[in-house]
Amino acid sequence: MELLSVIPIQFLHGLVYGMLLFLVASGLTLIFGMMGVLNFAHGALYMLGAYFSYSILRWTGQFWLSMIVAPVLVGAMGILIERFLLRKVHRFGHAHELLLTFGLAYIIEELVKWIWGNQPLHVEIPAMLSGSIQFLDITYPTYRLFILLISVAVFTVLFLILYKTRAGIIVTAAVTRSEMVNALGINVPLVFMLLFGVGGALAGLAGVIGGPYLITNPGMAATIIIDLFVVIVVGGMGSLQGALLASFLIGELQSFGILLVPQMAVALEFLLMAVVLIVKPEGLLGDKA
Amino acid sequence: MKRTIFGGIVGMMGICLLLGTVVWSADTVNFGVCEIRSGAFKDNGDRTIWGIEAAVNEANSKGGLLGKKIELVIEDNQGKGEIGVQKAKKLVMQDNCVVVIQGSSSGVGGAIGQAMPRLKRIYLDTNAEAMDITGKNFNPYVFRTCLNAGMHVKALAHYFGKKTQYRKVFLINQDYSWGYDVAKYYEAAIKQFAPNTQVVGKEFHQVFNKDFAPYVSKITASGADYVISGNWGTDLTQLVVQSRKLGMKIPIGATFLDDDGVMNIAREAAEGCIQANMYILGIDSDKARAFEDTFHKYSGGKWPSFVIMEAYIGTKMFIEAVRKAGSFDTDKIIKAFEGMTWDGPIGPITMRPEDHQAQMPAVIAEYASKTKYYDFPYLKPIMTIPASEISVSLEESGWKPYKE
Repeated sequence: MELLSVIPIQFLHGLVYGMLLFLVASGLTLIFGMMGVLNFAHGALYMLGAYFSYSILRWTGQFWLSMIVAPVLVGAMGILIERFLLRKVHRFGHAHELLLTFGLAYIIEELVKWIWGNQPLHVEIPAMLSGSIQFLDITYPTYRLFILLISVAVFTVLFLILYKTRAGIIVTAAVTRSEMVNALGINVPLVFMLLFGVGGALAGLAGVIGGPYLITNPGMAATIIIDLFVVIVVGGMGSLQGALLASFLIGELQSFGILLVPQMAVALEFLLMAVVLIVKPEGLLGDKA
Repeated sequence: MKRTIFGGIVGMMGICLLLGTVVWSADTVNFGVCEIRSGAFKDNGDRTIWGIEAAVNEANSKGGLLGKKIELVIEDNQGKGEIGVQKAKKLVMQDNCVVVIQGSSSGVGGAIGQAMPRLKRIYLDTNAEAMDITGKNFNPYVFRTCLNAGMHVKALAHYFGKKTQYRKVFLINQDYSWGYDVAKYYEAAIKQFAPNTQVVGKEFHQVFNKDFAPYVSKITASGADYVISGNWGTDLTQLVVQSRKLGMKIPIGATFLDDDGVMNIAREAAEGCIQANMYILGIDSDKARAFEDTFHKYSGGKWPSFVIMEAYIGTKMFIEAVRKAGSFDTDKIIKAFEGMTWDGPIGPITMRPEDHQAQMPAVIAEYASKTKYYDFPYLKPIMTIPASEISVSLEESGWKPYKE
């Protein structure tokens, strides 16, 4: 009986973690799907978002400001990475790009430790978000609901831009028919660069929000990166809806896994990935390419 | 001609260097530190080394050890047992260290410990608490100066066992040997102190678990009236913070809440938590104050908390053992260390001769909104438990005599 009563709240827990995961994964899947670059440094960019936000908060005390400035800074880093590093190795193929971003992830992690130290950091969130909301006999942290809200907003905006605007059409077309788009007078390298910036900014935003929730610490990139790759594979490379669905599934699998089969909880997402790879190798909502 | 002059200069420099080294090594003695110096757990290594350094600075400023200045030779074990063993070998054979100190990891500590009979030097375990190190895998070259898992949780069981309102416990721990030790020995200890206690839940989660909310809801649903957790680092912070935010108010009994890094984040959420260890800052006695102030002086303004304190005490005890032995000879130090009693900040610490596990009292602490040590909430001591109450017998520790 008691088990039944925790089901709704356990669902909510899984939903919140899943949505944060989606926030980080959205940028990764966009970049991967459209540029074919598996950005290993994406988790590190997410971590940078959290640390930038910490510093901005320390200087200004403005959480809302950090929610804007930190993603912009991380996005700018994304642009620099694309323009000055990735573009240079692009012609050598994906293996080089992968190795480059892999190395970058390490460098960023060491830089973070060097600048901010090894200790986890205390991030003060606004009073209106730090409390708990009471409904019926359930106490739920306001901040977790805030994560939910932000993720839904990001998904909606991204979805509208990609599928309902001219910019979105150019982006999607630049991926599959880059020469044709180029011939139409659109600067494809510029599109890729901006896309990398947007992807970075999304990771940065996820970091700002994820920091106070999962604790801003130098290990936060490493702990989320595996989940990220599972999301990309399960959802389908480059599919925004796929990333949303996969994030949701992984969040719920972890949450209910802990409730029902705790010994197996960690393994469940990989089980899901294995099943997807066997049954539908292109991912749940991926294109057959 | 030029070449001969050059050769001559190089040769002379070589001789000077050689002589220099000989003179230098006659005046100093090397202590080896095989700690984690890279990766995600580097912070643990940093703190252990702060404690060791303070003890060494203190000894050196008071005339050194047996007339020699102590030098630390620090190596990175990278958190891996096999690398730890390699580095321990290097510290003994190349640097001629009289001791190898490691505390951050029970895994690495166990591996180094088992390599020492071949190297015939002492491994000093200042803060790794896995039972096997002085239990199943005991050998005469290993000495542990901190609590072991069994003693550590026995202190918590003593506290909760004496309070009759706490009879339903939920055990939540990390999914590796340390977490299993905590759960196993807590169950055994609570049977001794409060046999009518019911274990309403027992969970093991991955180290660096991301979201604790699902566990918190499970604990709440279990009807537990208190929680015991051997978690450390972000796993402890997350457990404490998320449980309070989700409205769970029952006490959490912890073994590593004295980590100021954890308290800096947990802050008010730690209200109602209970912490046990061999010492806690703020004991109201002249001896404890002297202990803290001495550390503060020789550490460059730090406080002896958490593993910093354990590494400090351990290194001081080893130095004392060498003084008692009057020699750097391993066998003589072992003889002097066995059964030695050191005057600790809250009472004597005695090295049990059979298994080389130090026997000592423990302190229980609770949340304090303000202390003189940190600019965020920390802990304050509420009671001490005598050594005899938390002692774990040789048999309970799974101790086996050493066979060569």
